[in-house]
Amino acid sequence: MNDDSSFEKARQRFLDGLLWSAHRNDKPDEDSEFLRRTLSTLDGEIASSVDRARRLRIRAGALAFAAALVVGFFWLMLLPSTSSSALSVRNLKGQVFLRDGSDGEVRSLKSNDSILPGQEIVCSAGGSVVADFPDGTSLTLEDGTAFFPTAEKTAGLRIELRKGNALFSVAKQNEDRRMEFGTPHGGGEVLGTVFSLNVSGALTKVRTFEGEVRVWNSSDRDTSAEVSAGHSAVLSDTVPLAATSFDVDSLQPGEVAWFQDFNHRFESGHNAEARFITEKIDGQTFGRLESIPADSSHHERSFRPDQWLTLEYYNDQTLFVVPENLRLSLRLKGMEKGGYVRVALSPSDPEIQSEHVITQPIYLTGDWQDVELSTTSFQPYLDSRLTKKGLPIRSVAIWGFEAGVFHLDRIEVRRAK
Amino acid sequence: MVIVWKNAMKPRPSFRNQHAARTAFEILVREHRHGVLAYARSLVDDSGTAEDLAQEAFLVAWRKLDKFDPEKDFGAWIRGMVRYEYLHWVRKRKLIPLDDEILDRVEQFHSDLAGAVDCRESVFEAVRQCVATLPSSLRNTIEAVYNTGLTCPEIAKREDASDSAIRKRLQRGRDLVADCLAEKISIPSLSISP
Repeated sequence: MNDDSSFEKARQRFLDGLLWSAHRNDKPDEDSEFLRRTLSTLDGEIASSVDRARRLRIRAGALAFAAALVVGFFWLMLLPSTSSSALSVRNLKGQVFLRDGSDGEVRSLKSNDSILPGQEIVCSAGGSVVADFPDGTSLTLEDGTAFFPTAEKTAGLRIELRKGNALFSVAKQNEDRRMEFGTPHGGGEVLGTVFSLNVSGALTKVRTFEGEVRVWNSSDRDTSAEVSAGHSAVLSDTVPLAATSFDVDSLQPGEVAWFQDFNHRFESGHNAEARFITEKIDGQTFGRLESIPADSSHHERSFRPDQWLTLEYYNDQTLFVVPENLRLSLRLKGMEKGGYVRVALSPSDPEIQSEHVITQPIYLTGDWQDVELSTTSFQPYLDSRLTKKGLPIRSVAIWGFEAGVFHLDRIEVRRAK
Repeated sequence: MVIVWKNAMKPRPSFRNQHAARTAFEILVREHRHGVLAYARSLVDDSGTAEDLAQEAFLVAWRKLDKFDPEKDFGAWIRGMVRYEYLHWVRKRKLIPLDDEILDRVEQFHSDLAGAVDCRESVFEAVRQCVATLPSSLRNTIEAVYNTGLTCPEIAKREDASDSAIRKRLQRGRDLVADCLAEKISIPSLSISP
């Protein structure tokens, strides 16, 4: 190719690029989309490189773990059975104390502390604690007092709520080792479910969000009632025992309409959607995380499914009803710097099911943060849909845009105080 | 900026340093994206492919960041990545690549341009000003191609003109923009006017 010809071709190509780029700068949408896409790819790359390093560490640790397992097995056999049911504190708010059953000594509870059978948790006014059993069962205690009796070797988990509010998310238990709870007004047992207890005055309110709880009054243990999802019951000597359908109007200010413990780390960059789905086993409902391969039809040039993430929690029934004055709170943190997530609610109404009620973006930081969203965060959609009976919601989704990796602890929906 | 960059880059693999490196790299992406896109579009005729090449180049640059000498020009380095990605893209599709000589000259133009201005964004502003001074028929053709994304045959059909007339109009418009730019930001090699 002669010099003049190649010079001219190069010159025209150079001008071509320059003119195109100059005009493209006048289209901020295209420009920000390019930036978003490029930086998301970068975050995906960082996340996967962190993963690779983590996998190597895990492999190295696996050998040591295998050896420790053999030793640990024999050690566990020799341990008193009670230590396997120790709770570990995940999250604390306000002042919470621990009272030892043997000597009555009281000390402040801190994050990552263990709570052993024979000890009692006492929350001061406004105080709350979230704690986990080793099997994944979680307890949230608010403004309350709960005691953990020393269990017999064959018995399952047992908790006695003396006062206040408690939320339970119980992992699947053995048929012959059901989780039991007691209150001054009665008790109950579960195989694996999500429910709440409220002990105040002369009665205990039981409300089931998922699965089923069998309850009884303290005066008559032989008579019990099954409280299934979406129902509630009152334990009291003065009220006949019966499960009734839950009404959103009966929600007191601050009372939980729905909650879900995730306590899980979610990652984008795996070319898949991660969905928490529920399934029924032996009549009980359990949640699990399922990866769904990305739809190949989504592989458009400008769209990379490995850069975003949808976490959707749904059920075959209405999860909860949004009251007029909703307060939705999330506890989450980003594992990488920056990134955004949005919360979306999908109504149960089949006619409007495909629509979402979406919040404004939530910026992720590297620290745990409690994000609170009120009904006004979902305006103006809710305005048009809310009736006095509330808006039934079928699924809650977290959409991670440029989120990389994030850790979602829990989602709660309450009536605002 | 250079200090942030240096500190952030070495040593790279630890998680904490990766955070700092990510921040520094984002600044570089924001600063260089228009130039990199312009360079990519100089190599291929399709805007979407140009964006893909630019994006891949930034990703490869991130992976090879520890090999980059912070004393050198990042723009030149990333254009090298774009060129590599372009050749890879051409090979994959069994297309004929541009001559090395043309590729070298395109690179030289971009390098001259980067050397002639302090702020890269001022180049694009100058381009816009130059386009605004064109006679309306040339300006409309330029806008139709680079703003609306029409091809020459599409414009010819729309304006009931011949394809070659539109191509000539486009080339004439580009030449005038080149003359205007050569004067505004002193790159004599751009101009074909005596």
